[in-house]
Amino acid sequence: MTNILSWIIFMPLIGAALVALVPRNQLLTQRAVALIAALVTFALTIVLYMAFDGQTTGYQFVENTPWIRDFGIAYFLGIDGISLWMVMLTALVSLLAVGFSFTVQARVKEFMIFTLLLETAILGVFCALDLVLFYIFFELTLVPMYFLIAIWGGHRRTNAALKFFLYTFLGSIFMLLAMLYLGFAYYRETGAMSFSLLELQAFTAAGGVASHIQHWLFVAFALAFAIKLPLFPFHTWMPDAQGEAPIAANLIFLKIGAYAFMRFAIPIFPEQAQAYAPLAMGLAAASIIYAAIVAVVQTDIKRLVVYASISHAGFAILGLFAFNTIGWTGSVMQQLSHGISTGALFLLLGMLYTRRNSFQVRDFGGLKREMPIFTTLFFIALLASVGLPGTNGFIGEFLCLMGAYKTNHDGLFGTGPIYAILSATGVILAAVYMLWMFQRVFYGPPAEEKPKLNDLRPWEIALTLPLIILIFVLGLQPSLVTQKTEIAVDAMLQNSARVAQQSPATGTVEE
Amino acid sequence: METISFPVPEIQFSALMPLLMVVGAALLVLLVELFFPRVPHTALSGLGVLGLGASAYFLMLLWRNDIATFADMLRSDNLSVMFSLIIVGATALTMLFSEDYLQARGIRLGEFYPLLLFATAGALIMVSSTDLIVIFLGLEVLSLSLYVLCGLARTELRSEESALKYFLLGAFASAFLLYGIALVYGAVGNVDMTYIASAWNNAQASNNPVTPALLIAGAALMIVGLGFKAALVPFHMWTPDVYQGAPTVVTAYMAAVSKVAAFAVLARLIGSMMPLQEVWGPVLWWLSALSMTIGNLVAMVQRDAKRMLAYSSIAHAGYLVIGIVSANAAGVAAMVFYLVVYSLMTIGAFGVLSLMSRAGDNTSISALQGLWKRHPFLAIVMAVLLFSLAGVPPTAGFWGKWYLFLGAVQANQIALAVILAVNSVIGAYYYLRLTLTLYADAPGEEQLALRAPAGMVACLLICVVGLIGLGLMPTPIADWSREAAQVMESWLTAMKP
Repeated sequence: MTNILSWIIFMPLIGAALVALVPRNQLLTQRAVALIAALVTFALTIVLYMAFDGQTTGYQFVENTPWIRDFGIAYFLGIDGISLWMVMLTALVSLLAVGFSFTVQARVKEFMIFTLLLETAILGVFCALDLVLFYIFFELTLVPMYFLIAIWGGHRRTNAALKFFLYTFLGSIFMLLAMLYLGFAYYRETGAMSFSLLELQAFTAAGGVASHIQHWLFVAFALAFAIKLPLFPFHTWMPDAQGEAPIAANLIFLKIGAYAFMRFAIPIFPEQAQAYAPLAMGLAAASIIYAAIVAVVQTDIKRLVVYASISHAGFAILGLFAFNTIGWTGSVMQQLSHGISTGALFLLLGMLYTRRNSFQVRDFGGLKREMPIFTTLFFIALLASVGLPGTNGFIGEFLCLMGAYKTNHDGLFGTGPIYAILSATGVILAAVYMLWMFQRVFYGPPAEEKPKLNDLRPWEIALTLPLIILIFVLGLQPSLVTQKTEIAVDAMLQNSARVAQQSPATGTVEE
Repeated sequence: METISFPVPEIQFSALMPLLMVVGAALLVLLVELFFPRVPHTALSGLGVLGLGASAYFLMLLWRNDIATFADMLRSDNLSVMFSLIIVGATALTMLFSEDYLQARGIRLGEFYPLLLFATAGALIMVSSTDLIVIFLGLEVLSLSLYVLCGLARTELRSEESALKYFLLGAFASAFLLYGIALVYGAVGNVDMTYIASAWNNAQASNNPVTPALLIAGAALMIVGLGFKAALVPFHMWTPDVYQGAPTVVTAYMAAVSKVAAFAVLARLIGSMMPLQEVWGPVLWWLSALSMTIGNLVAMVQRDAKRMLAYSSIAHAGYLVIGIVSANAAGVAAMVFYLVVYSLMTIGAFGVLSLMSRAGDNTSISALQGLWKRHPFLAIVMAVLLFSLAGVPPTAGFWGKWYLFLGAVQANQIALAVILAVNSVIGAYYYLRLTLTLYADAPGEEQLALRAPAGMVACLLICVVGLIGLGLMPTPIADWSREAAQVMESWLTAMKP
């Protein structure tokens, strides 16, 4: 039990190793082994949930063993109320992704190995509390994702994979440099290096690094995460990569960008983060509106969902940089509900694709009559994505907007409320692009000369149902989530507020 | 009659043993090949590997024993032991897969192994001396053997061109080096680098300052000569042609061993001239920045995989110089560590290419298409090697960059670190594009089945396991690198003006 986090992180990896041992022609065994690994991982996260104590502050299930002593790099894991949910969601959608991937026919073995590897990397990102360990998991996500896109992707997979890798690699290598600089600054003060989140947090809070340098370090961190998120104008890799990626990769590759902002960039550089808040809120609003407008004109349903997800990511950042409890709670909710509702949409789209090998709007029409169950489930996921009250999407977006409205600081071109009002138009646009797409695909005349499509099979319904249920559960009972997160959110906010208060005006602190 | 009294210097053979083992193995192979021409060549390469193993064993014994013998002409300290181990290891790895390659290419010559071992002996001499003349001798032994090795495929025009080009330009570079040594001798009156290093302190104490003009000129010429061997921009012009034309085993060897030897000498030379840091600092800074950038940019547009790796090796030489520019123990340690990693990556990558270039002389990138279907093991190996070259964790390439970054940050060379960061991304572009070709579908007619011989598989397994092992646990080698770099520390810190 003491190292349950390690078990959770590496269970998919063990599964991948086992899959590798299965002979090449036994496809069913390969799939089954992968599914069992994902299932065990998810079961472990439920154990984790049971054992998690929502009343104490600080990290739980901490594992801290030195890894590379000279640099003070440690194998340092731990979760709080926020990462608990991220871990659980990742394990759940990975399970669904592996289940859905039974439909993959080409190179099954490799597909399962890369999918499980991706799960390990993402779970690692959510549990790591040492910067270097985090960075390694963060980069490790690239490798399986790259292969998943490059081998099993759509028509333009090669370019998409390369663009994805390079874009995110560019962001993170500067973060690596910033991390090293920070670690070395720590070394100059204390005589030993450390990359522990807690120690570096205390170090910068005590003014260990000059303010103008902190500024650059924050920019390097923020750039890496903004690209990963992605935030406008760093989003250009996303439609290609996610549009071409296989469904399993879409599902698992969650918003680690927003989480990384929350866990690393803001706590380590609270003062800089607040200084940049107006810009970040501006970019978030731009993301929300721009991606929504682009989504309207998409002719490819999957790309439309990808743009919708960029728009949703904007809300998470908007709430985060409002720097108040409502905004942060909203941001966590938004990250979760985005994973659930967009995940459900991707999953359903994947099922549609197995029937007609197309994501083009013009290839469909009148599906409502042919596939009533599919239509119902899709419509629920769609409404959650739009943010209808009663679904999970509403809670997240509403809280983020509320947080932005109530924020204490001014934006780039005005006060917080302006951003809240601007971003709210994103919700309206979401209704426009989603409902318009729904109308064209599910109503209207059926596409000509196309064979009739079968409705969902029981196993497909079973795969979708967990997400559909979660949509309603979180929509009607959000306190289920918030009761575990609120202590973590409060602790983080208080910490950053304290730092920002203590230090004098930006730019005057010197070493 | 006047008798010339010549003091016979005391000789400690323990310091000489690694070298003797390599030379002995070379001579033995030569004799065996002469008297028993029918002996299978795997036995010859086996003998060679055995000799290298013995050499490595004696090197291990020398670890942490500071020995200077032959009137201080041969020096065995941790730094030289570390470099020697890299060289011996790289040679052994090359030998593992060379027999099969030579056979397939119809250049199955018994001379190959002795020549390779002689070259290794030359490299060992270079790294285990601080006497510039001895270093020059070592360099010549290394170079002469390599000239012949490059032209080993006598029937191929490209191989001949490669040998001639390397010979002409190499001779030119040797002349630069030698002229540089002469000028340095003129400046301080000695050719021993430890003496040069201490001359500064003595000169200050005795109020008799060393005239730096001659020393600067000498050092500049030597940097040109060594820059040629290490393939640094702008002395890199020969690299792509020679690397492409030479038999791939020789290329793998050259890319690893030559570079290790050149960097070993460069690091010591620069270390001995710390008071002149203001002069050579900017020079090396530019060499590093240019090598990285030009190497990577030109590699991006190559259509031949061997040529691409040649340019990428120029870029990696640029990365290595960062360790020297940093001018601190961390930087030198980073360089040593990176050389270990780099040798594994390069030999592995050229090894895979050597299999590809069996039939005909085709190393174009498109020939790698569909490797995944033809030989999954090779494709996985190549992917790991390429990810490591790109510096993606959890491979050793990541830690290599990490240590270089660290040295640069410590020396406040932030600009150079940023250039390295940008270059990593450019590098990632073409390495990853190459991995994509591995998994792309091959055009129908080239679906030849590939057979990986046992030696090749062993060599590649060592490379891949080494790279991933170091990626997860870099500490042991990093510790040794740091200990080796401590040899330089007194030079680096004591004499900063």
